[in-house]
Formats: sequence, C-alpha cells, structure tokens
Amino acid sequence: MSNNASQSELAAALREAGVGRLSDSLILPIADRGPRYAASCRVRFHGRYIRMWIRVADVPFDVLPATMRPLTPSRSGSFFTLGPGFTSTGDEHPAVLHLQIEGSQAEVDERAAAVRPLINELSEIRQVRLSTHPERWNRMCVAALAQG
Amino acid sequence: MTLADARERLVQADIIAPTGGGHGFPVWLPFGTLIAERLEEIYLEELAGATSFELIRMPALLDSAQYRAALAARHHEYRNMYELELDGREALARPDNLAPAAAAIVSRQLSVPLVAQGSLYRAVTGALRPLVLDRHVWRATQVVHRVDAGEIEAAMELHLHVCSRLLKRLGLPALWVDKPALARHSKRSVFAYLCPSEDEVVGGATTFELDDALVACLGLSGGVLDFGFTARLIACVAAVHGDRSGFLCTSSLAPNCVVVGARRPADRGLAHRLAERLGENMSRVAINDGAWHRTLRINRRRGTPVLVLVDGASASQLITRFDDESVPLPEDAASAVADALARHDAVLASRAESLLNAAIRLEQSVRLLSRGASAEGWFLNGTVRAVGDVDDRLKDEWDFFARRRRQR
Repeated sequence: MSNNASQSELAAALREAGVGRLSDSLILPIADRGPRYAASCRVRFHGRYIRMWIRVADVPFDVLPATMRPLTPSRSGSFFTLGPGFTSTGDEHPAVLHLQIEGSQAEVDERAAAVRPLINELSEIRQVRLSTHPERWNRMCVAALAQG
Repeated sequence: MTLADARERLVQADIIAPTGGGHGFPVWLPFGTLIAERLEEIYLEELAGATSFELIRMPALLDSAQYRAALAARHHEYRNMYELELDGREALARPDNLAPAAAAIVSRQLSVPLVAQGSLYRAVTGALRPLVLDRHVWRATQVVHRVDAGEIEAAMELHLHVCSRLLKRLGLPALWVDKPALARHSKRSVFAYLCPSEDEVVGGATTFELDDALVACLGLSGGVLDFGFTARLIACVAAVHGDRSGFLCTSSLAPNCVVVGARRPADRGLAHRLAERLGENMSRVAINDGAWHRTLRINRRRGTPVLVLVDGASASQLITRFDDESVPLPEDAASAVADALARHDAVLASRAESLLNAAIRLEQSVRLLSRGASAEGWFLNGTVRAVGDVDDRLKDEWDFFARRRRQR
C-alpha cells in the first residue's frame, strides 16, 4: 500500500490482514454501555443542548458497545472504523482511522505486528494499551489519519 | 416478517450488534459493513451501465447558516438535526447531501449525475424502524442530477430504470407509485414501495423532481432530480427473504456467493484447489478451511447462497441455502455451482413476487396507508406505474390494483 493509498485501499488492506470493519459515526450519544470516543462536544438537538462523543484522531476509545462482553477473554479480535472526524487540533478530516485490537497479550502483539506496516504509512499516529490483566485481556487503541 | 422483526435476523446474521451506540445509532459489524458496501457497489455497477456519473465525497459537517440559506425555499424543521458547537461556529452533522451537491454542480459545471455515499444524521419523526429511520444512517446513497428542462423526463426514466435494476438484483419487486407535488419541495416524485410482509408497505427508494423555487434557491437552473436509498434496503431483504435459519439474500448481494469448506484438515488442499477453479468462472468465491460444523453454522445464518463441502474420502457435497438441500457435487463443479446460484436467485425472486402480489390482493396495507395510519407517514395517494423490465404477471397485478383504486 502506497503512502497515497485511498480510504478504500486502506480498508481493503486492513480486511486482508484479518481486521473487521465496523460502521463509523461522526457523533455518538454518551451512553453508559455504548461505544465511546476520546472527546466530546456540545450539540443542539430537538431544541436542547446535550453532550455527544465526537470522532477525533485520539485515544482511548471503544468502537464496540460495552454490552459485547468487554474486559473478558471471550471478546477477542481486531476491528477498525474509517471515516470523517477531527484531528487532534480540531480540524475536520475525511479519513480518521480507529483501530482496536483485543485479546490476551500474545494475541494483541501478534495482531498488532500484522497491521504495523499499514499503520506506519499513516500520519498523526496515537496509541494506548489498556489491560485488566496482561495475560487475560488487553485492548490496544490506535488512532491515525489516512489519506483523504 | 415485518421490517421491525427483521432486526432480529440482522443481529442473528452478525450484520448489526444487538445493542448499538445509543438510541438510533446502530453498530454495523464486519459482515454487515461488507453487505452494505456490496449494496452500494451493485448500485454503482447499474448506474455505470446506464450513464456516466461523478462520485463525490461530501463534507461531514455543513455550515448551519449556509445550509439554511440553501434550503430556505422549502418548509423545513431543523430541530431533528444535530447542530455542533465548534470553536464558536455552528455546523450541522450532514443531514442530507442536497445543498453540498448543488454547490458542487455549480462550481464544477456538472451535467452528469452526482453521486454521494456516506453517513446522514437526523431523527425522523414517527415510529422508529430498524435501520430505517435511525438517527445515524450509516450508508445512504443520494444522486443529484441537473438537466435542461426538456430532458427531465428522460432523466427520470433513467434513474427509475437503474433503481429497478438494483431492486431486481436484490430480489425485491416494488410497487412504483407516481406521487403528486410536495409543497415547496418537489413538483412530483416516484416512490418504490416494498412489501416486507403481506400487511406492510414501506418506501424503498425515492426520486423527486425538485420544485422550481427550491432549484433556484440552490443556485441551479433547469430541472433537478434527487434520487436516494439507504441501507434500510438490507432490512427489507432480511424481512422479505429471511427465514428461521437467519439472513437470506440473492447471490448479487452476498459478499461471498460461494464458500468452500473442508471436511477434515487433510482435505484443505483439495478445498483450496476447488475454490481457485471456481474463482476462474465466478466472482466472490471464498475458502473457509476451519472446522466444518462452524463454517456451516455461520454461513447458514449469514445466508451464503451455496456451500461446497470438500471431502476427499467420499463424495464432496453441494449445499444450497434456500432449501437446505445437500447433493453430491457433480464432476463439472463450476456448472453445478452456477446452476445452483441461478436457482437460488430465481426462487428468491419468485417468493418475493408472491409476497408483493399477496399484499396487493389483500390491500390490507394499502388501506392502512389510505387511512394515514402508516407509522412512516407516507400516503399511497398516487398512480401505480410500471418501471423497468417488469414481467407480465407483476404488471397484471398492478393493473388489478389500479382498477380497484379507480372503482373507489
């Protein structure tokens, strides 16, 4: 994949590497058990102001609803969303990547190594690793900007 | 099955997550995103076969003041849209593509259809339906086509024809209805109504010829058509074709129309060779050489049309999803698989036609709509028309329906 690869080429390459695509959303309701982003903003909806998550190229985040057994060994896999969002400086960007890898330490390391060449091509990469217990369950979050 | 019931099938088939990101924000899972993208691909294939077009990525945020000014000619409620406060400016999370599409047409002097695909954010008043009136429509396709005034009829026919080809490839026969003007929005419109069940009619795709005042307000001239559909069509497919085993769709829509599996680890090499051979004659042939019972279970609930079980020790099997039948794989595997796919699509199309005809005959759903009891608020107060290459049987049903309406 070249440095100028389009969104669709990046999505295809990630799928080829075994990463499943999920739908992306520019904004998300702030819900106890819903997905979450690293930043929120004030939104007017139906005549009142609420706070909503806003898709930003930053970590941490969770692209899956919390009802899908997070923090447990049964939730293992790698997922990505790719779509419009904001850079860390607040500019709109058409292709913000959120990549999430979950599983045991060994599983996460192996999957991260498989996608590392693809991620290294992108810009403004930020990543974080969360863990309940390294041997049992880890989550690696990577946010980056792809070619628009 | 009604559209509301279809949500269960979509969850069962790993298309959407059981719970989403909050009210009206469904989470599409990996298999669901493949299906939704496939839907868009089919549409673009059909459009490309009919005309040239421009595919443009629209901005996700629209300046609030500019959006209101561009659409000032129509009565509109903005309360159902999401208006973000960003560093002192206000912007709308894109509620539709009409205003930015018009701006692109003006700036680039486009005379070909402009196609925009992506997310829309807005709440629709009325009863919520799964994947239908969600607040975040993850995948919507909207086409804005500006033509000279004398070419509007031909352009309308073109878009209806392309839409009918799309629906045909999804195995969704439609009831096409010419509808009268909508104040300050459109001079006329054509709706493709679908019947997920005998007593339910839902809008599947819409084509509007925009009102002159709205066209002028958008900075355009001549005639403007606005055609669109969303991933709700996938919910319609699930409702029309789904069964107890899960999702079911035509070979056109299936991300993989054939999956080849191996009975034992020793059969994997054979399975790979067969998949390669099949792939020479058809597209979207996949190999899944994991445990066979798991391959079978997953692909059955996801509606993979044809499965091939490679068994080096005894006869390999050809398994068709629509009747769950398993037969020995003939020597000419490619022809056998192609025949099975053709039968699969024919059976699905025939079942869907029967459902639509039954709905028309019952007129239950139509009466509901006439009384204005539809949760969606659409009224079937137009004239039924034939679109595309409909066959005579379906045309007869429409004529029957039209006669009944005239008699009233």
